[in-house]
Amino acid sequence: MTLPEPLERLVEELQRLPTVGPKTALRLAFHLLSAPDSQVRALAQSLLDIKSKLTTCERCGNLSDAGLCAVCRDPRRDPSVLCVVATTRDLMAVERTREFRGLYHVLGGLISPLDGIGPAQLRIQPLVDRLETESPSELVLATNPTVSGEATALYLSRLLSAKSFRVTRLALGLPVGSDLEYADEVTLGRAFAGRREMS
Amino acid sequence: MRESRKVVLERLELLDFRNYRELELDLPSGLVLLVGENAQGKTALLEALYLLGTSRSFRASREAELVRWGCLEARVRAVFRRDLGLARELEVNWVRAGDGGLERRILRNGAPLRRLADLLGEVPMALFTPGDLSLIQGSPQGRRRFLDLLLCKVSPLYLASLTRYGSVLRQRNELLRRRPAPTLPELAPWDEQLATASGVLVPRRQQVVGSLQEAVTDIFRRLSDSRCDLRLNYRPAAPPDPEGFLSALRARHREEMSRGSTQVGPHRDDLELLLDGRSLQRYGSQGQHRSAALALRLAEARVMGESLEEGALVLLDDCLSELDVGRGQRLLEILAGYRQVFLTTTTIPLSFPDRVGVFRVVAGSILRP
Repeated sequence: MTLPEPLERLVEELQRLPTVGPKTALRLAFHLLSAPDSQVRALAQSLLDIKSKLTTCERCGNLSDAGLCAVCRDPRRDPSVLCVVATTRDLMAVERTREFRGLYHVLGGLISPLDGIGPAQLRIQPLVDRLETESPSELVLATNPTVSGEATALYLSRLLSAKSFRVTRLALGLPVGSDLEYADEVTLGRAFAGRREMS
Repeated sequence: MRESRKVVLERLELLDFRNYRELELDLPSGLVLLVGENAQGKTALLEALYLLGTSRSFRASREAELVRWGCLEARVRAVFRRDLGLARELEVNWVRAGDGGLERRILRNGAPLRRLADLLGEVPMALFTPGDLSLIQGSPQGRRRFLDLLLCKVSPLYLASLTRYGSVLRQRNELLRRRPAPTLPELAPWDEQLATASGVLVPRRQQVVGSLQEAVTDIFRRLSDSRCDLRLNYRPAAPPDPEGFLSALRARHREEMSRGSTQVGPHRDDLELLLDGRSLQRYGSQGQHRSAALALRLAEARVMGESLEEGALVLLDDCLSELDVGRGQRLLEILAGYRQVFLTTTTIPLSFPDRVGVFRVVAGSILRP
């Protein structure tokens, strides 16, 4: 059966979204068709807004609706610690811990020659400039433990080795609340290698 | 090694696998002989077993051919048991998907396995095929693969480091091919990661070659009934310690950039075989090559069994036809030392010991004599 043209177009567009297949797209489309006008209008407007009203923070590269992002605007944040992350999503993950009260720097990706991404494609120069003016006491490298994340952290730590601040890297180990028995051998092996003396 | 821990295949069931419609087979321990004419399904039985050990077929054909012609799905199931332990059931099954490909599932005691790595080492087995002559006569790549597969089965950390090494190598090679050429600070993060992974791979290769050494020398001597001394000489292409590795790498940066690929590291190691101090590859006879390839595989089974403390199954595809009578006889004596051996052959050797399991394979079914 062929759908009326506007509906067909909506189904096609929805299918471009991740995790959405033909059946889900059809279901969403019919849901929207029967939803109140105001709800559909609000959805359409918010879709347009994320493209027109959002920008990146001029200081840290986080997503923002103003010149400075919400984190950089917050006077309670501690400017002496800077956490380097690959993406805004990683920033959000660290924020959810509610443990880190410093500021961020979002690189916009990780070094990966196979994807044509080198230091020049990332926000590394802005980071160097920032470190000059803000002179924090610690830089936390919170990139993934993948080869690209590790390469990016190594590159940064070498680049900044002559500076006066501390450069740290997130620890690797066992997930909290899990059983040793179910940890995969590599994670457990790394946790073993990074074991600490009990105080 | 305590005898009581050695693993044995007790039962094998096939459904629409290759030319088998349905097969249910109870198997004895010790030497199991699969006798039959060509193209009857002897090797398919070994293939089924090997699939349970590694999830891969050793035959270079399309996976779709595993499912019997005209059928929609196929299944290989086996029950393994340690002498005093619990039974373990492994199953691999395939269902033809809409696009003509196959969907494969692996089950352990009825539950799906999440990762392929969980299957490796589950039932240790070593396989010899006539193609293994290339272990001796072929390029270093085949010998590295031999060491890698053995180590991956006994060490999850080795598997993880090898995978990581491969990813770093691909990234680094891409960077080396880039023009304008990369700067040293750009290369450094990849150099360091290469050194770290190499620091796991090389010492473990060294170690496993040491373990193989004794078994290889012993088996080769008994097989060839000679005093010839077969030695393994592992030749790492770079020092295993990070400092040594990095300086070896640095010394060749210029050359690497002009060639556009990494010239130093475990991906260029070789395992040399020496017979009385001379290159076996260059100076050995065809017969010596064959015996050495067999000795490598049998040593692999011994080392794998010892590391995993439960012995290893030995699968030998068509190894008798190429051996002279004396060697065949001596091979059977050596095999008596293994817990369970599966051997395919077209004819039963005259010298065959009495108390063995002989199974006749005829057109996709099995007859007990």
